[in-house]
Amino acid sequence: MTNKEFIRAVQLESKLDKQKTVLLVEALNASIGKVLSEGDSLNIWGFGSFELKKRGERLSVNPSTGKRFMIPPKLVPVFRPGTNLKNKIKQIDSDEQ
Amino acid sequence: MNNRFLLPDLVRFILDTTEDLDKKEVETFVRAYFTVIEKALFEEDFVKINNLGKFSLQKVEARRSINVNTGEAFEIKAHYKLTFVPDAKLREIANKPFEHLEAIELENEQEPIKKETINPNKLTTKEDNIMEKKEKTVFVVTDKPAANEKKTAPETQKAKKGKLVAWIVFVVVMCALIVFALWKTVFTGPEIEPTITEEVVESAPVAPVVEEVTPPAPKVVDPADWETLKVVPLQKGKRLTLLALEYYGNKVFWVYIYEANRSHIKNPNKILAGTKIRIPKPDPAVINAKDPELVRIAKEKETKYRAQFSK
Repeated sequence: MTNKEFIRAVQLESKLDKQKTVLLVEALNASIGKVLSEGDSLNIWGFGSFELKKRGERLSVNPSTGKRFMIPPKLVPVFRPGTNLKNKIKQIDSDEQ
Repeated sequence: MNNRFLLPDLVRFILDTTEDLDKKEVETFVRAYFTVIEKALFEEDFVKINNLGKFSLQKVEARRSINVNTGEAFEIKAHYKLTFVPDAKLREIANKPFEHLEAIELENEQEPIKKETINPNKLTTKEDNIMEKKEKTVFVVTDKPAANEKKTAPETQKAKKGKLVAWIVFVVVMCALIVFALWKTVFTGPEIEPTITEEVVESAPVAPVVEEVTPPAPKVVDPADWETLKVVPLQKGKRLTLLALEYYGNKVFWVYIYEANRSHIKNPNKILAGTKIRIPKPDPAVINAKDPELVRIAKEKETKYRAQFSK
């Protein structure tokens, strides 16, 4: 499902007009970004949570030149599915097998 | 920092960003947003949302595992898991606190250890060994903060490097002084002390000098200058190695025969029958089948030529 299809689907689900939906999707994405940039997490019950994870600094070697680089630590956004969603996903497996 | 926000907070944030929004509308929208993602996950391959990321289900193959408590083997069935790949923009936003950091190139860490070996006041005592260990630990400690400093301010890297070198030299000198002081305390007699240190200093450089002189000697050898023992025409089916075995007692010394005849042998593997081979008179310092060291040197040469002519 592409972004376009997604917006259309949300519009149908929420019964709002298209312009407003586009605006709200953008606002929601920006809000998630804002929450994460401040080091907070967002927990949507039944769906999952958006969190930050720190990846530590590490040494990396360029195999062709042998040069060694220190890669700085970074913060990465992660999504952890909630128990509800996780169970639903597990369910499909047993159905298929 | 470290706040856990929930759905109502998200609604509040959205209301803050844009004016003229109805709270109820936003609430229904947010709910619709997440239910659509959830529904779509089960119906489609992926859900891509610009500026946020891509959700998709990934199949995990069945694998064998062991129950940690009972030690029983069992199979974990194939199942799906949800993966979320954040959009580049979201990544960028999330990494804001560490934005200024850049990957930095490191120089070889062996450099400071080399400096240590050059240490002129090196003495071969147990104390010195202990001190060396201490020096090493000091290096490790000084290296790390320097690396951190570099990371935070890559522009001033050069200045820091100079400082680091200065620090290392300083530490080496300090350690040397401590070793010297300890040495003095051990030998209480003030008159004996200088003679001993002199002896040590003198004896230390002698050993490496001897070592250095011996290895290059065989390299200088040029069998072309040696006296001729015999000149033989190469018979059909004979090789230089057989001549070496016949005249010198070991096949590997063929390299010297080749070196003596280099002027008219282009490839020692392909010599025309009847070519006159000059067998040089063996120099016992270079050719002696009973000396394993000389055999080894000849073997080294052999491998070198092999590599050269096998192309």
